[in-house]
Amino acid sequence: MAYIGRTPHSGSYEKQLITGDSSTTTFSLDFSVGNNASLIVSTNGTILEPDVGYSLSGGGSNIVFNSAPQTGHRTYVVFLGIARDVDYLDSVGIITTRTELAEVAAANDLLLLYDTSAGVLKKIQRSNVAEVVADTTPQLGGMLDVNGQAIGDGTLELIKFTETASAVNEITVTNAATSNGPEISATGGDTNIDLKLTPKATGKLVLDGLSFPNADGSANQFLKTDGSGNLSFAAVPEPTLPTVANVSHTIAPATATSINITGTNFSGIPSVEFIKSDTGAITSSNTVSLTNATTLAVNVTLALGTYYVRIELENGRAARSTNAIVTSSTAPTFSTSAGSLGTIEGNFSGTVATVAGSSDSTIAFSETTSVLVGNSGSQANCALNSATGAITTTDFGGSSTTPTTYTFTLRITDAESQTVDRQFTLTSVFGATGGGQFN
Amino acid sequence: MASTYLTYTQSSPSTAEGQKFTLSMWVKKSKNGSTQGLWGNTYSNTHRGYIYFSDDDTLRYYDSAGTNYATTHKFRDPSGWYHIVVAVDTTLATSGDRIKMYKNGERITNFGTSTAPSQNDTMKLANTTNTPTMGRMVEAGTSYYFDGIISHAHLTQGYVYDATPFGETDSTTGNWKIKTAVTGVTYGTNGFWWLKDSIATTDHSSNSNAFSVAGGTLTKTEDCPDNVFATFSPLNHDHANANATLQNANTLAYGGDNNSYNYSVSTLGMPKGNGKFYFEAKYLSYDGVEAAVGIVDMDYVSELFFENRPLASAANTTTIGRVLLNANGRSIIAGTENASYGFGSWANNDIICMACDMENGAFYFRKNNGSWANSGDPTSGSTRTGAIDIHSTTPWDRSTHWGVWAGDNETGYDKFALNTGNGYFGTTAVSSAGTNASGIGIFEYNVPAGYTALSTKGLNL
Repeated sequence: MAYIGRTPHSGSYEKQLITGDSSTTTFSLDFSVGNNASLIVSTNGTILEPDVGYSLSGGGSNIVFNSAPQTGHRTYVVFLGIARDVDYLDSVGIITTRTELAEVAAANDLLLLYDTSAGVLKKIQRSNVAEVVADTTPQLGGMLDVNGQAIGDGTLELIKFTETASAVNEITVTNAATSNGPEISATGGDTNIDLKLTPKATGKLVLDGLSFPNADGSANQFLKTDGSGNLSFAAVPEPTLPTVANVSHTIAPATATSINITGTNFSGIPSVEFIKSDTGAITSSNTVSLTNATTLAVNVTLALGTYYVRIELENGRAARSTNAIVTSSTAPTFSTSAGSLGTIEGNFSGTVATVAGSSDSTIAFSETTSVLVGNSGSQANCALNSATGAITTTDFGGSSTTPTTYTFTLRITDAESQTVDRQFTLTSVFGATGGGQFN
Repeated sequence: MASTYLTYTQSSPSTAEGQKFTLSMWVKKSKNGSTQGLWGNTYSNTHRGYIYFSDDDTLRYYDSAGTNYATTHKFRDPSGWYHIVVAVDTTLATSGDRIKMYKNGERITNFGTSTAPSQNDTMKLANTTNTPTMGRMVEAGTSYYFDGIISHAHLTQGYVYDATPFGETDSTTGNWKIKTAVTGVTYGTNGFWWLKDSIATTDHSSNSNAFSVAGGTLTKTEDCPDNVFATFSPLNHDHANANATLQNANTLAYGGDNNSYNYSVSTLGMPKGNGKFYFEAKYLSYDGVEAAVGIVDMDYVSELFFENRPLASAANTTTIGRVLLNANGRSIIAGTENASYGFGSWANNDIICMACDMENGAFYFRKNNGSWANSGDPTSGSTRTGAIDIHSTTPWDRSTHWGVWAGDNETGYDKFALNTGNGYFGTTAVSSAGTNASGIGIFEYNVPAGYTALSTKGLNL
């Protein structure tokens, strides 16, 4: 008959002596028993009836006398059977209860195992159970619950797991067939999830000998290596590009004209192009010569308009002026000859003279001196119509009462800000104001 | 009768200065029919020279060196200025070029007499150590004075010029006009530029040949080549052209005959419908009776004098338009004499101020600096407040120009000094120049707003 627990030994029952003191009624049993009938209890030569003379407590691990054994009385217990102190297999072979061994089993402790071939339980001394280390093909039949422990050699932690109670994502390590690399990947409930590798403190992440920086760099920096496996963030090195200075030039339309384009990092014989600001049409230079790294001598023929300048070096590096620095425009001209615009009566009121000029765009007249316009003692007290060039006054010469030649310079400025200056004079005369009466 | 002349001390002239010289002067002649020296030098009967207006009103240059030129042109306009240039260069081969005369920029080529100097003659007028005179010539012991105004008188010696350094043609009007800024002229040691807009004795040339007034009274005028002021006209000054006297460049008029009712009418007229003019007449009375001053329709000037019309009598010659004020303070227009005008009678040296609103036919009189008579307001325009209003009368309708008039209506010798802006009454300057917004002319009292002087500039405002 199968028996779970301590192996019964016929004719060899365990006996426990109990030393009474006339007051103690509860004593620990050497073996737990399933019920009080599993004991023969005698005190002072009297067999005690179960449940009458004694009872059990502590799950069968204590005996409680109804009357405390007296001092000097011989009291003993014979164990007819002991309680099942190990799990037992139920009808389907599952150990449903157990008594936990709270210490390492002794080498001669017996373990139970179920021989599936024979369909019987067998016992085996612990010392006869092979060590895991000796299992060359250990397998887990389910999830390995490390229970907050690390995996290591028993002393040194090799892998430490930290569980997150609500975890849905985990790491999957996938081996690979020939020519394929094994893989550590993030897997789990989320569709898309990061895979994080975090070194400790100032430590660095080293992948295949490449030590990654442990802090982010600046925007637009990139990782660079020092050649010794150390990676760091660094700015993207800029190539040495040419620049074109915004130095304006104005040239006559449809006329081959030489100008100097200034900038930096010029070399070789650059290609110089002129990009029309309103249409984007490109006109190449007639000739280009390198004066020095900051100056190009360029000859170009341009149609009317304003142009950006683009320079492309022989190495392909290029630059364009940020402004349309070349203006192709006909300069304004005066049609009124320089010199005297006339002799005007002092205090004259009206139009003194009208200067004329033209350009291929709208022109405006102005005075560069401060002689014509204004009414200080040395000014002609005139007004200049910027649109028509008409010089008018309400009192030519202002407060002046002496003939004066006013020398002034007028400027015509066209829509392209081209200018032309011309010097003119106006002379005031003051008529006679009196005479001598010969009485 | 004029008696004013100028002189200065010359350095001893060189021969070249006697052979070449130019006299340029702007003159306004006040009197016709008399000999009037402009520039003269008389040392002896054989050592004399003159540039002068003859009594036939021609311009002459006589020099005892053997020169005698007389224009056929008559210089008889008392209302305007003449630019006269006499250029002498005896070194020229062409005798007809040795003496050149210019009038208002044009060379005179018609001469009644034209005896040229011999080549290289030294002219007595210039080549003398005697004292030359301006405004007087002496011939046979008699002085002949210039009666009028001289302005911008230039003398160059040793250098000859035509008229162009001293005048030019106005590009707008085509008129010959004065250059007050003379450039490019070398005056020589004894040259000068006198009377430049004033009567300061200063020589305005590069020299320092200041003049002195050697005789008479030289007075300043606003009248000048660029702004001609109205004066009494010697061409219209009394019946039979004999018995009223004009003096002081025709700013002073007085009757010379008991039967002459009209002393004179101004040289310039005020156009009907245009302008507002102000003038002052100082009454220098001899008898204080029946004298009158005012304005008259200039279309009747010929009849006025030829017929000796008694304008101060309202009942007479009613066809002749006039607005007068008589010595009794009565206003007179054709056919009407208003004894209640409210002006009051005149006294000696009272100044009668007259404001003529030619735009509205309204006229205002004021005595001295008092209120305008009849509570008039010359600035009232078409309201004509207190005005002598003739704008709806027939004489006004048919008139074109009105001139300043002075005269009387009885026997006696009343005397008026007219100030149309010269700043003088006779030879006496105004004592307290009044305000004058137009800036034209100088008056004793304030000129009403909007009014100006009766002068060429005033007429063209």
